[in-house]
Amino acid sequence: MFGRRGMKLKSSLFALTLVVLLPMVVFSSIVVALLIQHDQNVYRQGANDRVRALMSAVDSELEIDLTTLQALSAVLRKLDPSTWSGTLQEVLASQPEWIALNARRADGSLAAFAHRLPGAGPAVVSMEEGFARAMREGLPVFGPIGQGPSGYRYAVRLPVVESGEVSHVITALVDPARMLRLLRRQAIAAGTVGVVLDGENRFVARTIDPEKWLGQPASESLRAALARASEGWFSGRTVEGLEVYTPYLRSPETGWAVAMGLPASSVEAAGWKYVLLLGAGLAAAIVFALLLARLYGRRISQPLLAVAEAADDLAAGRRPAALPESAIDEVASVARGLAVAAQAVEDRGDAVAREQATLREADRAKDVFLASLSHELRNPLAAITTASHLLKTGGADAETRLQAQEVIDRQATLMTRLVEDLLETSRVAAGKTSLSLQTVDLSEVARDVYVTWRSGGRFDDHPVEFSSAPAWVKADPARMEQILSNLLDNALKFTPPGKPVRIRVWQEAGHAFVRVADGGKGVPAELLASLFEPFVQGATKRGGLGLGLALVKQLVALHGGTVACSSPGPDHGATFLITLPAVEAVQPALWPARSAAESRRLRVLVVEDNEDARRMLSAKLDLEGHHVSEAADGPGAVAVATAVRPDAAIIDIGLPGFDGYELARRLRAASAPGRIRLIALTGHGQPEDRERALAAGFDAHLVKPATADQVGRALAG
Amino acid sequence: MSKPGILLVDNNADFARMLCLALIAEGYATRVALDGRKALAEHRREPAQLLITDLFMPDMDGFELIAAIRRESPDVKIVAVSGDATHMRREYLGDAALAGADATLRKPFTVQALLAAIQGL
Repeated sequence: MFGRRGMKLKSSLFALTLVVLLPMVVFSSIVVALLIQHDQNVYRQGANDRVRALMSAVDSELEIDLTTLQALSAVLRKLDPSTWSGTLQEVLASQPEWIALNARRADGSLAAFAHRLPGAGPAVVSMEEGFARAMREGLPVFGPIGQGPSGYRYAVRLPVVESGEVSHVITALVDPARMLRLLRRQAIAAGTVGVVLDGENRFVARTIDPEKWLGQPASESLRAALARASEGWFSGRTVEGLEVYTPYLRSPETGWAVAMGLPASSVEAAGWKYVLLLGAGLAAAIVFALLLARLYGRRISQPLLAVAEAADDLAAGRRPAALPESAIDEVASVARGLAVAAQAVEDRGDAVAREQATLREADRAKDVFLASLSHELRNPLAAITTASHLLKTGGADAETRLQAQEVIDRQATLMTRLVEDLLETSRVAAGKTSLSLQTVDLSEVARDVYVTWRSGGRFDDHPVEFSSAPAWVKADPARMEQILSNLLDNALKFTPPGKPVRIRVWQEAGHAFVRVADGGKGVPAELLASLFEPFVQGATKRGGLGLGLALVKQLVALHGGTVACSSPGPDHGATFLITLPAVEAVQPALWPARSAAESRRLRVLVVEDNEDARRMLSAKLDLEGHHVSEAADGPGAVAVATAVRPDAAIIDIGLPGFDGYELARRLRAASAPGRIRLIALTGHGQPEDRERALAAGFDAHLVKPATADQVGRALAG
Repeated sequence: MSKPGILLVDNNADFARMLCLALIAEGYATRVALDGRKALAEHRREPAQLLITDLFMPDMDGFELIAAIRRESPDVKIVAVSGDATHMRREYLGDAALAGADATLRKPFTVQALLAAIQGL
């Protein structure tokens, strides 16, 4: 319906309407033509009927005169002819429209007469032809009209037959005004010419200008028509030259004729009425179609144009204006479709913007990470560089050189761990990590981490509480240690010195839980969502790469678990909760029950000059419930032992002051026999070392590194 | 010219101890503080002539420390050292110079470089 070559919608609609109108016009025209024809027929029929009625009226007027004459003749027959004139006078007086009355003998002589005009002689009215015809045919004769002394009149003649011969002819001369009146009594429309003609086609009466045309011959066309047929319809001109349709009729009884001249204009007007109506209807239909085409064209095209404009806007990347409502479903659905598309474009724009923001954020995080990485590597490098400087300069004493070596070791280890963390994160992220899964008690793994950290002095600044119940999981113990270490590291990093950190491990409803709660400054709400993403860091001056928690999340996920962080608010700390699927505990028999010594609380003195080693051992013993006291050299140990009176002492052999053997002897000497249990812990494991220890008074001799189990058994004795 | 008493501030204890030993070996009387707050307390107890400080430390960072020392002792020479490269498109060592450091060094640096910087003050 839409033009292929840029035709306006309005024009298309108009053309469409016209195409629909065309057959209607054709059929209407046919109907109108039929109607006109029918109407004319009806009109003609009506005119014919009126002509017939007029004819019969004329005929009956003539018959009435004839009947009067017949009655008169019957009377005259009984009277003596000498009295006829008196009778005629009486009869004439009773007939106001009769002008004169006479009776003639067969030879034409007057037998009697009566006249309306006083003193008038017998009328001489075209005697010859009418009288002769009445005589000849023995039948009544009507007309013709002729001029007498008092004007035009027509004759009605009755032959009186006696013994087969016409003896007399009685004649009445009638005023044609009678016919005019009759004509006027007929309902003849104005403008229509009604005429009454005698047998010679002369006017007896005429509705228009009767006096002028009285006795004059009828129009040529009417006479010609009457000559052709005694009844019919023709189109011609009146005597005045008016164009008329004329129905006419000649009476077979009287020979008179009537006709009606219907003006052509009025006859055709009937048809024109329909044509006009049709034309007006058609014009109205076309105007209506135009208006409708315009209106509907606008109703369709305006929303369409708006839609097209919106589509252009959309294509140009502008936000399209609000689309108008259309009452047309199809247009409305196009508009809706476009609105949806616009929304989709906008959404996609938003999504792109969000994606870009995410990318920018990732880019920023990467920048921060690179800067942090630089910082984290430069710091240990600075320490190593300076330590190596000290080693190079000859002036350093042995003590300094030892410290420098330790620093290099420690800082190199730090860097190694950093790099390993980095690689680990990348490996886990790339899915290249393999787990060596075992059924382990998470609480034991956590305990080991706790002991190691505590002995390493990591908890020096914070009170760290540890509580646990068996929680069995299928896990890679090394990874679990890594997870816990990272969480602890994180907790310590964000907790001000003196504030507590709490570790708890337990099992509940098919899940194993590890919770690390710190008393730090908490996690801002906006950071909670991205906390476990790589390179994301809270505000800290302690450095780090922002990898720890990301690694925790990835490793926990590898074990089928989840990690969550909650923080009640600034300075209210943060709590990290790891949830792992719990498994059936491994048969308790496989795990040695705790020895009596382990379950017994002892006062234990640890004597060790290496601070790390001493702390490690103390933490382990403390965790097992023993009361631990420490000393770093021989004289110190004697002092502590005097104060606390330990149940057992674990003694390193190589000590400052005096060595372990000497210490053993002194402690043994100072206490009741069997009162103190002495355990040597040494790097020297030769049989002679062992003998020497036992000789010095030790109850047990352990070689470094000793397992917790060995220490436990040594304490138990 | 007698060698100035140095207060060395760095939260990396290993680094601080090593550098302290190296500076002592070079004849400088050197003390160590592990964060800005301790350093300020130490300086107030016994003023140093030269401050060598890290920038990023817990409990009062290098910027705050530099500002505080500058306020209290305008004559103290200050050397800022940091492992930071451009961080968030900012040159922190440049900022440190603006904040009042007389010289800046990026970690890791050689002891010789530090000595040269000190002598150049």
